[in-house]
Amino acid sequence: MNVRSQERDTSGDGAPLPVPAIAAERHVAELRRAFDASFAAPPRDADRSGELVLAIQAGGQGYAIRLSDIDGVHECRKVVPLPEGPPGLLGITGIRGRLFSVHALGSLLGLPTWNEKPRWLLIAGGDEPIAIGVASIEACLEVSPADLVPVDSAQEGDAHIREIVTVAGQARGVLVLESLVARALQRAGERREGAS
Amino acid sequence: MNELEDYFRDEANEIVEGLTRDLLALERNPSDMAILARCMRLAHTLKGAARVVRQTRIGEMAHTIEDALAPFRDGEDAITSDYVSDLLRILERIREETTKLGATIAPAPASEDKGKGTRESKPASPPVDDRLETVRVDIADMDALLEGLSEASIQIGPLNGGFGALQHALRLAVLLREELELGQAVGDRGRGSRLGAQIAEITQSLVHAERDIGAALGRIERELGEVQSRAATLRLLPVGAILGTLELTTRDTAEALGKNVSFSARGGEVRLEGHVLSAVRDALLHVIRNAVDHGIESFEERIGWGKPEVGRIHLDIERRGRMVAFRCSDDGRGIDVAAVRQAAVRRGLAKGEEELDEEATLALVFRSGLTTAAEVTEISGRGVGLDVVREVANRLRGSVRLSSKLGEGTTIEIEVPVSLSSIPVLSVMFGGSTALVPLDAVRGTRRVTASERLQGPGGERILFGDRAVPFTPLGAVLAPASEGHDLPEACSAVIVQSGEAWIALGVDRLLGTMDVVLRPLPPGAGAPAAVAGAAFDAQGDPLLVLDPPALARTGARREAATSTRREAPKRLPILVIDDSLTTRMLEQSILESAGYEVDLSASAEEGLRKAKARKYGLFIVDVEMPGMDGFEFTATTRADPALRDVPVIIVTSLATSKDRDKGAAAGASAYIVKGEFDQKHFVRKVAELLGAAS
Repeated sequence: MNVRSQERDTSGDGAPLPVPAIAAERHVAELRRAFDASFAAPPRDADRSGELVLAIQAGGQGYAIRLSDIDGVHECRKVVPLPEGPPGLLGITGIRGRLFSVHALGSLLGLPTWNEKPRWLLIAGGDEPIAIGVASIEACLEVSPADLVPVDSAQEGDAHIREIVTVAGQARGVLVLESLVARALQRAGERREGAS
Repeated sequence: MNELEDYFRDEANEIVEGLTRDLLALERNPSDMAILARCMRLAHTLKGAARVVRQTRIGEMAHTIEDALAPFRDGEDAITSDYVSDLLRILERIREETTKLGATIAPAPASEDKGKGTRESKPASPPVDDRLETVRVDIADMDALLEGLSEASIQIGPLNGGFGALQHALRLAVLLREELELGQAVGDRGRGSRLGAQIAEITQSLVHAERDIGAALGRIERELGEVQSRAATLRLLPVGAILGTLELTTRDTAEALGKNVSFSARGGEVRLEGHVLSAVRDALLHVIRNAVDHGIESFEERIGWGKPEVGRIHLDIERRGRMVAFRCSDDGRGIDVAAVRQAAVRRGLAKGEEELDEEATLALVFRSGLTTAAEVTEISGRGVGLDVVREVANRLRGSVRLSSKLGEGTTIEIEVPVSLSSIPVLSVMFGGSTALVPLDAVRGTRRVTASERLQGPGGERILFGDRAVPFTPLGAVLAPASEGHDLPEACSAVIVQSGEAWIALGVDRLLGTMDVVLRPLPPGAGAPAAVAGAAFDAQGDPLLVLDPPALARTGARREAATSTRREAPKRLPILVIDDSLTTRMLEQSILESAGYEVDLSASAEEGLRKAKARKYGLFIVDVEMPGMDGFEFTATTRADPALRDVPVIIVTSLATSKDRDKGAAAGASAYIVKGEFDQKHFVRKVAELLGAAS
């Protein structure tokens, strides 16, 4: 909604200038209507059907992540290792004055070759955010919901993949960040097993 | 007082809101005892706070609410809607009173008279001076500012890089001009001089740029660092900010009860986050009111017991790694464990008195509804106060402990974790990394050469004063999984103490001291034992802040492991006699590390006395000492039938063969020259002789 333009429209309707009090009342009513209407209207991009996904590499494997699942993407700068911790906990880092624990995505996925230096950090986890290190980000793509094919995770043998998306002819698992964050917290001894 | 009243107004409004909400909830669920208990606690807190600012009317009304709720605590009668309505009416009166309190602070505007008299009367505004000097800032806004500052500081990094490139360009321009000048002798003179002039101009401009940018960059970096650290501490409040309120509470409570009590405190400079501090303040108000009311005796009683006339309440605030402890002690009558036990049985908290030991009984003091006060007074005595203390500690994920001696006093300790706090640290470097050691635990630093690191079965030790302190490279603590914690031939040791435990940390070098804001480790980082948290450096990268209690425990564990080994064989103790403190300590450290029990004497005479008083397996004695020397000591003991079988090792700086012969003649079993001292040989010799003697 544009309040300013609404204001101009109401004053320029050619009607004789009313008594100030009435004019003010009408003006307020118009504004209120416009304000309410702006909420009732569908979001501008609601008709856009695509879902944005990041194509990434971790532990030598290609995966995809829904962009809406991530709170931020940052270049990986200095990571300070901690004296104790589970495998895959690379240490802590500072991003915009906040501390984050850094976990290697490959390790969280149980891949054997996770020990690569992360170039990017994906922030996820809502109230208890962590940084997940990935080796590379290959692309950010818009895919249609029909291209996201649900999979039975039990059959796939990987609890962190619920969908498959085909990017440039290659099928990739779409990672569920919520369960990866839960695994990281559980490994760090901050959450009970099975809780997510 | 204005500041206090401001606090009170805010607090009272919050409590009234909370109570209104809870009373309405209680009306819907009259049997929910948790809501009832919360209502009583809120009313109790309001009563106490009102007393501090001498708002007796509000205090009385809060007391009435608390009183009115008390009969329902047993759960026998359910509270009725009408009853709740009555209480809500009292709350409304309290709300009116607090609003009035805000208005009365404001002075009448001085400019009123100058007006034309047409101005409508407005509600009195808060005092202008007060409002202009302090602002309330939302913590989220403060964090956004800090994030922005941190980001701005990080941008200095690339600027520094650009500045480096500029310096490089300048060097190249200078080189180019020199090359050109050399070439002019042979080449095209006219073209050369034109180019030369242009390069000179470029050089000149680069020189200006370097000077101006370099100076400005340095200034910005310094200023930004300063702003950043000031902004970070803005979020924190010194504990000193609540001490005035606590003192006033002590005085007022004492006055109301006709007692004379003094309040003192230490550690007010410790800084904490506001919400932690305000919660701790509420808890401490209850602790103090309880102490004055139940702890401190009446004037006559104190005289009777031979105690000072003025009762004493002392608060000690101390940082302990990632925790801050508030220890509040009084010198009153202490807690009568038997009386608490009886009260507990009376209230059905225990079946019989026999099932409660002292610790369990004292823990009951924190239970809601348990009081030992003979009569309920207006100050405390409803068994609510200490319940609040426990609740605050739990809410802040801290703990509360109580110790008491009948007739001597009570100490209540509230320990809360620090979420953010500003602390002075010593910055140290090890293996290319930097770590920070909280300065309050550092007892000293010293240079250590490899030969000063004494090897023993329990690990390495170094001497610090007259103490042999367990030594460990910091790398081994902070990166135990990686290999190669080798320290340079001469390194620095940071000696850390926590309680009775000591440890010396080997580092490559010391970088200096500074104040940093200690942050808790983020989610997912686990709880590594040696780390208290992290702080940011100027580039926005984290630095680990070590946890002294955990570090010192590492040293203590090693000691314990050694002493376990020490206990295994039952051997006779060794007596070391040397007038040099360092030698005594060195030998003691080596021998104790090897599992022996050691006694020390600073002279041969004292050694003889000890030798007669206790049975030893071995004497280790120096020669040159004031009074009796080591040869004489050896000869004397050889002549004594009770001591002649105890072998003697002479450890001396006298190295001639004549001296050795003298030692042998006196009856020494071994002769070790200090200049040739070899730890392994020494320990082997001791084992050999002691084995033969026992």
